[in-house]
Amino acid sequence: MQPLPPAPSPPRFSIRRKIVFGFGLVLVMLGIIGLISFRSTQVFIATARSVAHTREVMEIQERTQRHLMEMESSRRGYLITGDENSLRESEDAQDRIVANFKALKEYTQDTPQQTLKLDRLLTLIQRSFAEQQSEIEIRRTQGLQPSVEAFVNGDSRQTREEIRKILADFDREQRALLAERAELTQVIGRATTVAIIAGSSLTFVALVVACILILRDVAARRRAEEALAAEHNLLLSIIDTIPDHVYVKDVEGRFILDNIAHRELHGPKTDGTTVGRTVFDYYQPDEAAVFDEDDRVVIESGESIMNREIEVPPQNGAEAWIEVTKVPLRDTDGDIIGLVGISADISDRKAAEAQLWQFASQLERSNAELQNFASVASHDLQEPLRKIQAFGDRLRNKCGPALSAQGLDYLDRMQSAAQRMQVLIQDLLKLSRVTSRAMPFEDCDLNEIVKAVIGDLEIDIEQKGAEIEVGELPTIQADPLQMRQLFQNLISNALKFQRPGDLPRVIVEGRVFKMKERKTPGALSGEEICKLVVRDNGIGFDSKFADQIFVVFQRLHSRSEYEGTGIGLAICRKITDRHGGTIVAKSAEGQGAAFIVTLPTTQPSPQAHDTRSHADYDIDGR
Amino acid sequence: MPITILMADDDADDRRLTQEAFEEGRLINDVRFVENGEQLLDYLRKQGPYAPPADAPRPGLILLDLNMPRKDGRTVLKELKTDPELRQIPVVVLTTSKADEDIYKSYDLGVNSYIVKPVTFEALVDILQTLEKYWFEIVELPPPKE
Repeated sequence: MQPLPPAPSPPRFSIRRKIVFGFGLVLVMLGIIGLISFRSTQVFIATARSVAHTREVMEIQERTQRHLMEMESSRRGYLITGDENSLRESEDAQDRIVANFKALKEYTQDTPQQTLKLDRLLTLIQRSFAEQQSEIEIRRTQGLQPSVEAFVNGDSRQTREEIRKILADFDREQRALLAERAELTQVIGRATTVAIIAGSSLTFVALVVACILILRDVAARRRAEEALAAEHNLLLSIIDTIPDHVYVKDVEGRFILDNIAHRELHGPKTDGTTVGRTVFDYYQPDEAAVFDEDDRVVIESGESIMNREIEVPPQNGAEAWIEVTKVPLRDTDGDIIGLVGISADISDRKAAEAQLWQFASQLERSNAELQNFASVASHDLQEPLRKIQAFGDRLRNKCGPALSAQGLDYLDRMQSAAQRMQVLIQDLLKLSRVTSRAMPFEDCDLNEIVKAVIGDLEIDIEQKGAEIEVGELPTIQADPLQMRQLFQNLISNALKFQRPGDLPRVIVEGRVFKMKERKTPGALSGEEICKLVVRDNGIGFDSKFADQIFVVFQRLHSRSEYEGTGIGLAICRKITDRHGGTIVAKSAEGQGAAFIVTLPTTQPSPQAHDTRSHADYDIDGR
Repeated sequence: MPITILMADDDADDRRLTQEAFEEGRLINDVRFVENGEQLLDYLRKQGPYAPPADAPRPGLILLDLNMPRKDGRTVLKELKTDPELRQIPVVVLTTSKADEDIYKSYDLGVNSYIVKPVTFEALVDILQTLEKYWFEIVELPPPKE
């Protein structure tokens, strides 16, 4: 399976913010440009208006000057000719000057220094009017000569000169103003153009940048959506490959999503789709109520139900079981929005378990029966045996003298057979006690135990002149009494199976090592194992008997050679079995024997390898 | 008058061996036998076949087997030791069972001694002699109520 492509990291700013910000910026810039244009246009219009105004002022001023000249020439005409018509012309001109002046005054209200000049002009004009009037009066009353003198010598000339000067000044000023305003108009025009071009360019750039960013985001988003869709498909494919039923429900218990296994089972009952349906659409009401109750518990408590086994109505006559796991489904805020469920058909497993359980209980029963048999047989066999011996005693005591030597011999054989049978029965009891009288495992110092065993065997050891060498032994978890029994049996065997006259030599060794592999049945790998060896220099045995000697009552020698019933090694094997260990024998005829015991150094629980089924079962009870 | 010893045992061989052991041990006690728990209680309460005028003297010692048909020794022991009339009579369990459980249970119920039946006849004689000496010569018992 290909690994999922890494999910694209979310952009630093959301696309929405980018759009709002980008277009907002453009709008603001457009607004600024509009404002600039509006302001420029206004200024432009005002400037144009003031240019026109200035031109008009100049026109009026020129007219005024012309009228002044007209007035002067007509007055001069009168002064020379005395013609009243000229005088009337002069008066007309004067009236027009006054009218023009008024207009001029009105037009130049916006320029105070011009107004000042006009005030001055007015004064001069009035004075000029007055002077001319007086010249006219002189002409009318005194004739031509005095009036020419007055005209030549009087102040009127000077006044007129001044008026001309002011007018010229005014004109110059007005021209300067005109030029200035025209210049301003041009500057504003250029500035406006520059501002509009710059603003438009900036806006254009901003728009382009915003578009690029947004397009890039959109592309990234589409990629992310595609990745998400791919992931979604992958997940769906995965859940579809699960043979168990996998489904998602909302808080109302309606299916939102499910896998093929679930859909194929239930879909056909509800038009091919399970979405929006509930368990009540698919199961009997009481059954559905069980599932629904679980859903409710998961959604209300927020706690998962793990591997709950539920028996469902039988399928094809066989018991049917499902194993259900339900986990609450939460949104990003942690609120529960439904649940995810998996239910597996475990009918086969349950059937196998039931069968296994049945086998186990059968085995347990047959084990118990065997134990019981051993115990009952031992006791019930002992009863008649006791009688045989008791009445044998009575026969010997009461009727001994009446019996022949042969009769007495028969009686002896009967009684010794009975005694032997009693020993056998007691040995069987000993064997069964390995499990029925088992004690809990505890730490056992094997050095102490072997020392005690050697103490018990002291008489035998001395009698045979035996030498026993004991190495350093470990401390392990075991049943101390059974460890003692184990060493007792092994060491006494080593002392027993000797050629007559030989001095027995027995070596007991032990060491601890870690298991690397599961070599020893019953021992777990990696566990610490204690290996104990009891070696002797005795008669040994043919290695083909190495397994047989551990079987109950199996003997390799006649009773006349070596006493015993053949129970000792069987007990040893049962003890090592109970401890989860092993015992094997290695030997060759006439070359001594070695018994190798392996035992775990620690026990998982006090009765771990106890094969007993009934703890209180007592083999000695009747 | 010799003291009566009452033995309850379902095993005819054991009854016979015990009878012979008494004789062999030269014990002069009046030994009587019953075969199960019901008979034992009938004897002690003088009921059924033991109702007067039958001869059923109150025993000075009861030898009780645990495993018997009809009513076993454990049940009988419980009834004996809860009966104010009978509980002063010493009871010695004589059984083949060596089970700890039986030993505990018997003493819990108030048995006076617990003896495992010996294998040999000689041992049985020895045990009976010892019992006789102990219960009738050494121990002081309350005087019979009769």
